[in-house]
Amino acid sequence: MQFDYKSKRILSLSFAITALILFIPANLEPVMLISKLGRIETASLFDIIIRVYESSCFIALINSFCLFISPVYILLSLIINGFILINKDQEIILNPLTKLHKDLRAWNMVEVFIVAIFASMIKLNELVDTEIGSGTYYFIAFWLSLQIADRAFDISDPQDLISKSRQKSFAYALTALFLLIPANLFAIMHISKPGLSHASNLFESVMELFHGEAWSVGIVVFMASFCSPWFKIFSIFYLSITTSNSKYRDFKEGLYNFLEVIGKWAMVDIFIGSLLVAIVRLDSLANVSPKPGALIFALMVIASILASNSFDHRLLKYKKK
Amino acid sequence: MKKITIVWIIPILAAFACYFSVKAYFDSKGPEIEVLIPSADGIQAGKTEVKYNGIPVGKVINLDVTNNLDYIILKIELLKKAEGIAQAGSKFWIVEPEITGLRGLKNIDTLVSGKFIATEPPDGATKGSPISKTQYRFTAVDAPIKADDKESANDLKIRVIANNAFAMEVGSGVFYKGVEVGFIKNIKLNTHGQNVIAYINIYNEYRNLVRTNSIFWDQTTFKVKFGFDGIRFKGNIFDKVVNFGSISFATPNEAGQRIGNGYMFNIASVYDEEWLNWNPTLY
Repeated sequence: MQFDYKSKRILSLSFAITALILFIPANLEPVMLISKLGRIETASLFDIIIRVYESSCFIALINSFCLFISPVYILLSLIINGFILINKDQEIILNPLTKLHKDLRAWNMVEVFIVAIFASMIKLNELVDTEIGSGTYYFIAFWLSLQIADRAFDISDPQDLISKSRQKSFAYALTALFLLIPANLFAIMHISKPGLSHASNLFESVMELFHGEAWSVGIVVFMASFCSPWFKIFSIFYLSITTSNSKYRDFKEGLYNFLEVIGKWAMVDIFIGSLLVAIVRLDSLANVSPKPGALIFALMVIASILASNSFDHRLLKYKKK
Repeated sequence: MKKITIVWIIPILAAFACYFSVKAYFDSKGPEIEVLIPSADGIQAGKTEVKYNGIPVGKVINLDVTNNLDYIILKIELLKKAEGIAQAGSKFWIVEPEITGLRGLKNIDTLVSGKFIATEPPDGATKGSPISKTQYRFTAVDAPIKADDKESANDLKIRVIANNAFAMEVGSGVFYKGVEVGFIKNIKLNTHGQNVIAYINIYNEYRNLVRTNSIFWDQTTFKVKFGFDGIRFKGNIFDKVVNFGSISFATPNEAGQRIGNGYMFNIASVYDEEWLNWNPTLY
């Protein structure tokens, strides 16, 4: 089905407004409830950001940037541009504001957060009774409408290629690699509960998901936060070194598109950690606190997203002159 | 020739960060040691901690069994700062919740935190004398009894001989008029196996209470009287309920001489209520 620009605009605008309405309860309603021995804890996204801020300012900043600031900017850009362009039959022109919109797409991680909610419920199952909060349903609906609105809002590519694109993305990928090594060594979070008190590193914290019955979520998180960083970093090395070589061009383009998709999913473990820190506050019954490994890991994810963002995929299309 | 982008500063910084953090990580790792224990109930690889005076100094990383199935081998990774524990003479024991008679509950925090392994380096290490030979395999010992915490060089050390030790327990108190003035440090059979000897420490401040003619009794020292009105117990029943395993003593009004270390008493075989009325002035 082919839309003209005008009906695309209207579709985009209507879903953007829906998303805006859904965004308010999504932030204020609890995404999860836990109870143990009669004590109940709940946490909405706002609670999570505030509580994580108490123990790690930087992780809270990442949470608010990826789950609040980026979606809000994209949403406002969709609505404002939608109203301006509603009667104009033209492509959306790239200006600094729409360029920012385009860049922030990689940082809008609402869907990663939704998966993190389910994964952290699995983690908590043996510790406490968990229940999904209404906030999660609002988040799913919000993400769907935002996704539809954003798909219909296609911004033209910039005229110029990103300058020194290959160098930049190689440098960022190298940064990510240097951070990935310590991120795998150090503990990500510390869990204390009756009969147990221990700090687990990335591998251990992912493996805990396999203890239960929910293998599928375990595999998703394992691929997303343990395998994907390595894969992504070395793929970017490969792409930036062999850009000028026109062999396997289709494969490389496909690889790049795949990297764009998986890049943000590495953040899933940080969101799981944030959720646990925010919600498991039962004093001596159970407590979770973040450890330095989480910070290094988050920095690594940021570097890897910068690496794929600064790689200009059009370099793969054009033959070298 | 293309210009070099300023972004290269970031991987250089990251390389330094990586180098120093990985170095710090491996520097913080101490030696690996093995401890043999009879049973690994409640010990979890990767989770059970090793503590010295309550401070974590290492972690159990692996559990295995010896070839002849006699012992469990705990592989323990010590922290760098606790290297000194990997030397001959270090002691390891398992700390678990304990109920000692009716007198006391010990290590209640382990009900919540789980069992842990306590350790203690040999005396020399703590006093700065040269470190003895490095050792990587140890056999766990019994938890040092409570007596260790309390023992002081000035305590009066006496012995009490009894027919049996059914009503005595190591670590239990020794009472004078219901006040704890000492404790049972050890109980042993005598060389021929006829009697038991209880080694008792009386705290220094109470050493004057024990005289040559003091009388010691335990909870077996009471009479059971069968009468028309049923069975009647005579003895220190209250003491039995509250302080099971303990020993009491009394000193007559005409108190005898003071005693020195090593003095030996016999436990009274017949209980006399009169003892509770004795009220000597002792100083």
